[in-house]
Amino acid sequence: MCPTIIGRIHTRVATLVGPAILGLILSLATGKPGWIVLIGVLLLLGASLDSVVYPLILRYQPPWMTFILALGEFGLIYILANVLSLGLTPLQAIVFYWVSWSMAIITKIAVLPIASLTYLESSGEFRHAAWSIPPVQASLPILPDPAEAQAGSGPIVAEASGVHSAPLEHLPSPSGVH
Amino acid sequence: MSGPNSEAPELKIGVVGDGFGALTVYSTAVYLGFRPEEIGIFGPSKNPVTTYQQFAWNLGQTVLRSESESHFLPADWPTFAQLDAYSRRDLTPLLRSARRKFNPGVPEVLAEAAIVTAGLGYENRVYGRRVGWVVREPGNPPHFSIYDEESNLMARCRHAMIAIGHGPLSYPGVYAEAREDPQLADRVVQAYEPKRYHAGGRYVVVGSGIASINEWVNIVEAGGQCIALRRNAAPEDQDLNVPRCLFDGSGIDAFQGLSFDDRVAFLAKALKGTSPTRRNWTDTITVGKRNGQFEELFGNVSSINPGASGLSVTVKLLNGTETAPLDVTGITLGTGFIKSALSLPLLRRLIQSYDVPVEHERVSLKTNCGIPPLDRPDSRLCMMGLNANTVVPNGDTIAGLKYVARRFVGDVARAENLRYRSFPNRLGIQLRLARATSKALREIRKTEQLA
Repeated sequence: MCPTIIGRIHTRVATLVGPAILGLILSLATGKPGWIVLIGVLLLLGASLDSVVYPLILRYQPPWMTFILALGEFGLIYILANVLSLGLTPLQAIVFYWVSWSMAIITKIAVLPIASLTYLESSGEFRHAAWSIPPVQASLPILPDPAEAQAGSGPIVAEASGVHSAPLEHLPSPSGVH
Repeated sequence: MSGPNSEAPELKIGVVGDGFGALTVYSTAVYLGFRPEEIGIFGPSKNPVTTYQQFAWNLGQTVLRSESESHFLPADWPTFAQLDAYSRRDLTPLLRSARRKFNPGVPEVLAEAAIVTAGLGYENRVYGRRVGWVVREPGNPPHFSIYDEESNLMARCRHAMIAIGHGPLSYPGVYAEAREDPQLADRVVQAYEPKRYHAGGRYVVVGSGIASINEWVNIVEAGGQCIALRRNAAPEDQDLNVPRCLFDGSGIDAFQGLSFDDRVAFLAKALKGTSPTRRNWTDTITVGKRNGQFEELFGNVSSINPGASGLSVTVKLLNGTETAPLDVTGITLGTGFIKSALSLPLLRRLIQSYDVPVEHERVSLKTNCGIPPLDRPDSRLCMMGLNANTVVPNGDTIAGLKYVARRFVGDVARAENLRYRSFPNRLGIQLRLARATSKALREIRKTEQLA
């Protein structure tokens, strides 16, 4: 896949919904906000990497790269979790991270393509099944194409001056002054 | 044309054509929530893989050029590598897929197509005659009348997709003249035609795309000599029909941002003589070279005459010199199909009847693959396949067909206020088809991967 920045953000948010629910349940059950905060930190860290770092280094992202990125993010989140003192033991944080990552990757591989038929072919974005450029937004040439110029007159000129010219109603001058 | 016929069925979606494109539109529509009886397929064959199967057989093709995502289940999960790995309890397809070295086998992917065809009731929706005319009816609501080649009204449909595939096989220049000469005709064949190579024969293969390379290998394996005549000095090495990121929305967005002329020019450059690297092919050719069975020439055939061995052929080389007459058994052309829209009778009639704009012999499709001036938002007329690759660069691949089908059906769904299937319902369809495919894969001999 060649994800766009928006595609990366869409995917990141969608795949963290499951882990966020799990983190919320664990936080409520244990009274430790660290679980849900860890997911929040992961979301912020991921969104930063998705919008600033990954687009610079990865245009085409092969499937095996996902795991390499997960290892890198694991290192960064481990440092951040320590700095922020989330109230989780290292083992709890490590296990929760990899459980969350597994949930996220299953969501990405299996759930999102079923939920959105065009997810994969839209660079990871959740788009309507719509065309890249609707016809009303298609660009029109401002300058005439030289090939068209050599082709001679078109139907409008033919109507205006041809043997079968269409009658043209006498209308007021377009000038707003005279 | 015959007049209105109250017996003619009234459909929401009509697909003109009966191949891969028809199957992708049909499966996408059913998956999203259309009922089968709202869809009609117009073509003689109830089996959407017939044409492809014949071409693949003639080529000796065993694996698709496309990768794991290119297959016939309506949604993109599971991929074919995942299905293959699960079915055969073998992780190799997943490891290959991770390195982009997995290509679905032809027998496997055709088995899946057969399962989707039967599983979604495609065969029951085929109106078994070829379409001669598509007529825009302005009535309320606007629709199209579909007539067969004898001008009998087959059906009316609110929206239509033209999925008639490639034009005729291409025989450029001297090859067309040779095909007209009874003394030469049977010795100048297309890669996509049935053919047989003989040990000790000498064959010229024209072109450097996947079809040509298949033929190089077929000749060497049959014990013949192959003269590979390449018309470009340095073809691009590329596993897919277009550069990889063009398959994604971002690439297609960028492609569609170009003017029509620039898009045609880009395709001419990107699709020229691209060929994949295949480990086994390379081995065969290397051995063939060593044994004096394979040689490359860069140039174009300038004359073809009857000869002692069958044909006497001269080649004008790219350096400007000309070879002495070469005695060869036959010539195989990997020159593909005629891309001109005017080579397809149905399109030619549409162009003549409705002043459909044509540039460079291609229909100037709208950026939503609509055919001007007939297409309108409440009654769409679209085109897919090779004829639509000026909008979707990989339009003639399975991935490209899906891309167009999904957007066309999406437009129709919005115009018809479709009540979409729920997520569990979609998942149910997908899993049912995947399970059936998996069962079938277990009964098919695994096709050897070539990359």
